[in-house]
Amino acid sequence: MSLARIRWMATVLGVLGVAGVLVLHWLVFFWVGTERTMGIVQRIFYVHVPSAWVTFLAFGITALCGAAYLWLRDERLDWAAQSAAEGGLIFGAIMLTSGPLWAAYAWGTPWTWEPRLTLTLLMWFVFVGYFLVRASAEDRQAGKRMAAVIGVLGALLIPLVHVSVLWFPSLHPQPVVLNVEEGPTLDADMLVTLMIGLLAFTLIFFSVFFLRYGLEHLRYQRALETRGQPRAA
Amino acid sequence: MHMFRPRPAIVLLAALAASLASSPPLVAQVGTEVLAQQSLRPYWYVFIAYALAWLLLLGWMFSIGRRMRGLDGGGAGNRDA
Amino acid sequence: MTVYLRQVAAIVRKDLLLEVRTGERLAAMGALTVLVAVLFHFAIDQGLVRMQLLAAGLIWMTILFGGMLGMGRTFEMEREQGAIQGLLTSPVPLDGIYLAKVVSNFVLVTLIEVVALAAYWLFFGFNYGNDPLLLAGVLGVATLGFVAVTTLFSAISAQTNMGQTLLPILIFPLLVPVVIFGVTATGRIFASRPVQEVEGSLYLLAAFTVVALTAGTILFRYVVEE
Repeated sequence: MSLARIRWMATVLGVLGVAGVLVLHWLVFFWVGTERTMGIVQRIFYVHVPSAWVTFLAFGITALCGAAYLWLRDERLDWAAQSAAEGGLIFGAIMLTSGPLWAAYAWGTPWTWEPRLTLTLLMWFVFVGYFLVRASAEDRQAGKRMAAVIGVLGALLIPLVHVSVLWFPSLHPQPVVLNVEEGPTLDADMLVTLMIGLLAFTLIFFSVFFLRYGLEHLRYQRALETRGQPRAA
Repeated sequence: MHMFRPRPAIVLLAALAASLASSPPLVAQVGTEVLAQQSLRPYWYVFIAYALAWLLLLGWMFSIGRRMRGLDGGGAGNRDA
Repeated sequence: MTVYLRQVAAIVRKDLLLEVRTGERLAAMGALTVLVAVLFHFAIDQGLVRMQLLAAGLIWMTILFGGMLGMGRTFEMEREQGAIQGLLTSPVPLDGIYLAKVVSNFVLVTLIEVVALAAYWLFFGFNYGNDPLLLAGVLGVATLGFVAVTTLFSAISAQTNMGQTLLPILIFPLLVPVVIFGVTATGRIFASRPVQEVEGSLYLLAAFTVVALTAGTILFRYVVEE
């Protein structure tokens, strides 16, 4: 893909994403019904769940592209893995800030050690490690490989971590503040709003993903130029 | 170089501002409801959650834009210096 | 196969011999283990909490920190003296080097586990239950998983300019299963619960260890290749 094409993709997806977000805001603030037990604060749901979905998606892309990079050694796979990981970090931060805000009101406590919370927190830290290794690697190529290894290992071990934290409460009986497993079944209007949210967030993610990918592409071109013409300036 | 150029991020920001600005009717409803003080709290939680989400996203976009401008504005020149 | 095993054994022997001669890592790990126990004595008000109830958690945290301290240097000694080049260009396959490092680290961490158990018994009079064999099995399996992850990541952190500072950030998120099931299993053994209550945790520890060891063996070559 040429740089122009990447930017074109980012723009198109961005316009669609922004449109989706506008619709989402309208739906969330004016259209969708208020949930009975949790009330207004449940509206955080429509930003929380889509960001969680995008975080998982981003992590999956990072792991897949990382594995493919180790195999094929195509720089573009590394750009994609890195761009997705940055997205995962951002959307993960959205998830991890909107979640406790919701929980603080609905459950009366910002954090519980509910499996999914624990899992996503740990996953976010794997992303952090991914970038710390990239940034501090003494050799850039080694940094790319090591980051890819972290992405792959994270994808392998995260399911195990998930199983562990899932089993944890049953192993250690403890007072449960609120049973999150039995969430209310969604009404039709809530489902529609959620779907729009998922769509809008996915579009926004891919838009900025391509923007970020384009940055790596540009960086690569600049590096080629400086190598090709040492004293161009 | 540092002139203002419309960017997707700014469009998004405007959209966010418009959407937030059009929300006060929601808040106004609360006055008509039974509780006055307490029931404003969930609205704040919702607004903070949405605002943080868009701030984080915009921050990401701006940081990409800044890095890109750093390259555009003479990556080669900077590297020579 | 036998050649492979002999090569691995040769590296393990070299590492352990070096460890015995210098005793650097072992001394640091052992000292940290005992000192952590001392600090826990002052950190926890024993008038409020019965230490025996916390025994499994305290011991696992001590093992984790002590083990990490030593294992962070798995590759640093060789890097500092340039021996890593010789090792990497030797006919030993890279996964063989990884497995050898896992074995020598496993021996080291097992030793500090003995130190930790002894120190906690000495300081707090912990009761370790009545099934030492099962305890050894659980500790062994969990330690192998812990070592498999940490050895791989110590190869990563050794190639960064942050060095050992980076190691805990990289490994702690992935070591949660070891902590959960290690603590659960050992806690129940300490309480002399029946074997059936420990089995589930032991199987999950084993699953973690197998995945970590396999992934480490496959991925190690990408970390150290030149």
